[in-house]
Amino acid sequence: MTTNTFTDPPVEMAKERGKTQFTVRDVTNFLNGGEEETQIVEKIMSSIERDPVLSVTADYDCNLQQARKQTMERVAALSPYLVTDTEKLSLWRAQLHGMVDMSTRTRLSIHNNLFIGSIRGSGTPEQFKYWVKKGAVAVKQFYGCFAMTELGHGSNLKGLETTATYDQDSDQFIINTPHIGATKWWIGGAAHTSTHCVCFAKLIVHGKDYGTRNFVVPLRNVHDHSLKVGVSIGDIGKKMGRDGVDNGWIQFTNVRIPRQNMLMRYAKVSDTGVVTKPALDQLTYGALIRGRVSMIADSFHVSKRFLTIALRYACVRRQFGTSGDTKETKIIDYPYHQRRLLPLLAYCYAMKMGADEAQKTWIETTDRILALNPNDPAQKNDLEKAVTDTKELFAASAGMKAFTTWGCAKIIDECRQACGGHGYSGYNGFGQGYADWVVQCTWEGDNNVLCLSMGRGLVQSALQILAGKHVGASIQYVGDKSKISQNGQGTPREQLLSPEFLVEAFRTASRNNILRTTDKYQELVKTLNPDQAFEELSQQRFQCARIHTRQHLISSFYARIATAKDDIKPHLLKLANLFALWSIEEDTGIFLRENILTPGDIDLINSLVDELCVAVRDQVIGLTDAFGLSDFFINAPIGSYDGNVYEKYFAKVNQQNPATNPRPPYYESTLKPFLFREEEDDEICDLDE
Amino acid sequence: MNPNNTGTIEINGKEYNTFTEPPVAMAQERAKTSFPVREMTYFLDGGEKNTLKNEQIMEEIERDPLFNNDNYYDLNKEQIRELTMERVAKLSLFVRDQPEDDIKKRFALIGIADMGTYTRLGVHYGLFFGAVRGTGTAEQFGHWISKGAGDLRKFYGCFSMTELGHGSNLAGLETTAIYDEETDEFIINTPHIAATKWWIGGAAHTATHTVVFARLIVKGKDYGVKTFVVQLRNINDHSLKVGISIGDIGKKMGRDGIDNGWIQFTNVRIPRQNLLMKYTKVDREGNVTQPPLAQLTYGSLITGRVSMASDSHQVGKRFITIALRYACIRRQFSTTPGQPETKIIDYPYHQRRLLPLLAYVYALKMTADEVGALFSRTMLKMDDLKPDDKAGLNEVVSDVKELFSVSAGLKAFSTWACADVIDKTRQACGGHGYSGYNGFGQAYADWVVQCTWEGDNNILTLSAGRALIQSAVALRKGEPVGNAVSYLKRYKDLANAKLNGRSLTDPKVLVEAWEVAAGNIINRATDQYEKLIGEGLNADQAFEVLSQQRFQAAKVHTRRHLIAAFFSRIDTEAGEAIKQPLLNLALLFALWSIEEDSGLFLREGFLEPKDIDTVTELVNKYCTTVREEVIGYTDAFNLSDYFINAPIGCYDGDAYRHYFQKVNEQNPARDPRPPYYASTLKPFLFREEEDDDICELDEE
Repeated sequence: MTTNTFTDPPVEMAKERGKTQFTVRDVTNFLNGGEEETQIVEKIMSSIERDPVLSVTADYDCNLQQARKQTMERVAALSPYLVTDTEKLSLWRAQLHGMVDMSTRTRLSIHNNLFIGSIRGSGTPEQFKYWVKKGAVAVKQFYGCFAMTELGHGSNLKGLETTATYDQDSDQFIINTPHIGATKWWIGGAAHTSTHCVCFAKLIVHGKDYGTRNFVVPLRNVHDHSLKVGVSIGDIGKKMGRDGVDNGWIQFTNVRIPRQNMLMRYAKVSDTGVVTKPALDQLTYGALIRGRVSMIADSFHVSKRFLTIALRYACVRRQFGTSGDTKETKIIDYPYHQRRLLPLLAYCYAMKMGADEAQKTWIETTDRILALNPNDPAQKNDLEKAVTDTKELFAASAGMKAFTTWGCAKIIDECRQACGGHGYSGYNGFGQGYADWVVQCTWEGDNNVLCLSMGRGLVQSALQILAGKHVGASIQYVGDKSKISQNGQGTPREQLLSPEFLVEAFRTASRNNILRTTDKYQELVKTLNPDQAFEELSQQRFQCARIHTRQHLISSFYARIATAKDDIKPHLLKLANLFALWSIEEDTGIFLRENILTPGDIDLINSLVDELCVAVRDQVIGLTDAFGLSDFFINAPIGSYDGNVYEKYFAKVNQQNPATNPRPPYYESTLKPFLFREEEDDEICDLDE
Repeated sequence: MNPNNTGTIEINGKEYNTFTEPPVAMAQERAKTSFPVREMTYFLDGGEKNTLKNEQIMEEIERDPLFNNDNYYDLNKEQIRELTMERVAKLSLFVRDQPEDDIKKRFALIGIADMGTYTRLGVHYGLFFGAVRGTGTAEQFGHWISKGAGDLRKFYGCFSMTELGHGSNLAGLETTAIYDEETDEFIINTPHIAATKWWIGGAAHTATHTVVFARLIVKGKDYGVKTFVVQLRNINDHSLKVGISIGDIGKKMGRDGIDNGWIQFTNVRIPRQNLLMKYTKVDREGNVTQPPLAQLTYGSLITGRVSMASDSHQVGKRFITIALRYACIRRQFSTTPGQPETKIIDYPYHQRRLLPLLAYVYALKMTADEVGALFSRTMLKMDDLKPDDKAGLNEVVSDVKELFSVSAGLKAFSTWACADVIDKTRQACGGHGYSGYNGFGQAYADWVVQCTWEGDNNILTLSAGRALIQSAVALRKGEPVGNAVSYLKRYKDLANAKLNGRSLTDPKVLVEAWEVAAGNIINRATDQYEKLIGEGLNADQAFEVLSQQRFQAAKVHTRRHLIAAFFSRIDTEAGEAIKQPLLNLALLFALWSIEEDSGLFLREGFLEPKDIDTVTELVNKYCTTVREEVIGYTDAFNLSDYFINAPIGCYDGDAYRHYFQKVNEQNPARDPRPPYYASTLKPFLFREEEDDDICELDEE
């Protein structure tokens, strides 16, 4: 059969798919955590895909106004699940739907996770019941938002300036915005939707400042959506992405709320103005971890979508010829194209392993904390243990959140570039995907700040280890002796492909960095206070967090492969090796500097990365099919399952832009007058001198 | 009122809060500048004369109501397409009678404020017009001028190269131009949907004519891809010519103002004279004459690359200015209890995120200027060439070849660098970087196509890497090579060079360090290349095997070029008052580049592990030094608030006031109910779920 550029792609795709050497379903099950989970996932995906309100076919052409309205309709369509879904189902649904519609996911999550999460996490059980009765869980005559950030202050809770002053006479708090810089800003759901908010404000009782606490403040009258007295709200307007989310600003001018609207699970204020502080303050921040943990999973889901598009396209797109061929070469067959995409495919798999581990730890820890009463002295030991675990999870999730959200942004961007011009088309989703995604690198803790705080945590853990004290499992390796002794003769090939060696190489690199930074820290604190010393070591803290997190992803990947079925194990191992070796290649300075590897090893690693790319290349369709995404979730014609990319892409462009009139809408008003203009000559004064 | 209120800041005995402090802080920061800002601007612009000309043009743009950008970020695609057309119409008036250099300046400055208009006019003047001038004969050029191509009357051109199934690989294009000897015409045809011309800027709405790239087929023989002028629309009513189909490409990641379209040709007939015949000629009898040197036809592609390097600087400077001004007034977290929050510019890590990028933006300018000047000289030489001057021709061909590879690497790494600058500066502004009104989102979306068009950056880099290896091969054979790679001649010295206790703040040592890194990578790749050829591979196959090495070679070589050009420009042009501040930037750039790629220097043995610690300390040191002058360095870019178009980056530092005002101007707070309250929100909040009916029949 002869084919041309237009008809060749689906034929090629079928051939590529035929190269798969493993049972795709086994990898899908491995990724999802078993056949049972896969079935749950598929059920949720089809409930999304079949709902006409959730159809994303025309999404790329929506303007801001259309996107806002449509997102509200989708929130309404998804709201019944808020009541019926278990926690697990709810997470799956949000993550799966978030892959194709990040705005709806966020707009719903503002209420469901941030608002409800705060009431549940920081309110007493009675308070939680009260707000449930008002309609908070069912979302009836009620929509909540989360008023934390201020115009002049981001995630630094201590710096917030909104005040909640206790007025004992009326037994009320007075919520106030002292100046424009303290306006609540970026508040998702505020501009259009919310009736209530959880407001972060400084608790002031009898003139004393007790720090930032949470208060429920009604924003709008429920029956007509008009603003409550003293509440001013505006629309934040155009953002880089997530147009569907109605972010707004809020100012409070002496708004009075009952004392009981302060969320009192931890700090309490009595009707006589007596303030009781919790035994363990850290626990109030546990809720922030939920966001981080789910962003790690989101990084995986969004990455897998764009990698599938770029790799499918690479398998059917031809560009340039190498000598002798009549047809141009498929771009997937260029070694450099493989190097651009295949390590990222491996990275994406690694994210999933890291995400699952973090989610498991988080669920266990939260369940334990919610079962404890912070004010019961008998539970002190259990509480302290829970606090240690939370702290460790807090630090670990910081680095994972930062590097996976960055990793995902890089993947969207690199995949777009790998699709050449068609990656720039609105209809292949990369532009919107990137614009919607990247806020994840900023919100709920700016990635750089998170990394620095994690680096600080790592140095503190190292100090614990040096003092012979107990640290959590994920950091214990810092206290071990390195099993690698480089004698300058180089490392044999088998070693460079062995999981044990690669994990140990990363641990050695990470350990040396952390310990060297700890040495410097101990030197500096002789003359500086700890904060100053840590500031001096900013670059080092960042590097520690970066290498430790990479080490963590690599070791989790290998650990999880141990549980995989035999037929898929070799393929997963190739991916994991590719990820580890490529990571070394990207960071050769560290491994040379720590004398873990020799210059000769680096050359060998370069060729091993080439070899592994070639080995993985034939399996790319299988490895991406295993993500189990239908064309609905792909939402990019050049990434469609059947590979019939040009036909689908051409059809999509023409559906969205029917070619009816060769004249633009502004032909009469602008274009014609321009093309047919007669310039008036400058008059020349005719008078002779 | 409250001693713990971290919003209370005292400056010179007066109290300010988060909202009122920023302009005062900005004035303090500005006062720290130790060098004459104006002199720095002259240095960047290449002299006072250029600065004055730029200022005149900027004022003309800024004062023109048509170029008012107050609403810019809220325009939807339809609105921005129309506005862009109006702006193109206005700009075309300047193109007619101004010196070419001023036109270039105007385009470059417009490009900072509005990339869509820049491109949409560029589609005609850069691409269509450039192609007719560059590949048409003088008579042909005169003909199209007489039709209105020169001043855009009853005429608008576009450039139909890319096809749906084929990008920048000219050899793969499938549109055909078959010569019909009987009628003395070419028949232009699109053989199947994948050969549809795609991404054609100006096609969907504007263009009357196009230059189309099609395979020249005469008497059944395929002579490869040539360029033809084809009329697309009837002039009088803008309807399509017979055989032409055009559609709108619709939504793109960015550059909404450009009407990219697709074009299909169904046996469209054009006169033989519409083939642009400066190089390839077809006569009445169907005799085809091919040019002696294909390389000469590529000259016009270099123009685009050189101007993209310069655009990278222009756009980069806008965003680094915004982020650094904001960093000087934004406070976040407190390092000392009881004290106000710290300005984010004072965090060492924030300095490391932004200051090397500031240095990078400066470096881009030096290299873009240098390559631009080389390009102009070469083009002049080419124009002056006598037909029988063999030696002169060889020299020009060798210059063009070198420019081709130098500009490839420079285009790739400078457009990537600019994308990185926009992205990192956005993140450095935290949440406010994500606001539409501070410009990052739109600029990123508009910018990044530069990394793809006119040669995908990865492909360009690989081809630059190929040229580097070819130069090394030539050197080994004793053949002459161009200036840009002349350092490779010192191969043997470079192979074993070490720092040996020399100072890492000596420009000569730093340039040498990069020559060592680049030279060894190139030479090692060349060894491998020669080995593969020896094993029987052909050149293409050997180069494919060495893809990663080619990429690295081009990357390191280009960085070396940027560093060397920066130091050399300081040496030759900087006056005493600005020399040290410039050296501080150049040293920061060179040292940070080493830190980012420390593996290279350890691997070659030029540096030892302890030297890497020194490099890190020096980067910290230069960050601290440069930090004091950031307002001076960015003021020197000389951008008014119009060109900045981001309230958090405005000159006076009154960021929160301007930003709050902008948001409210664009989104007046009138109705707390959204437009869809009655249709969607209210029915949702007040819904009553219907209970499922339960069948009440009792079982018997």
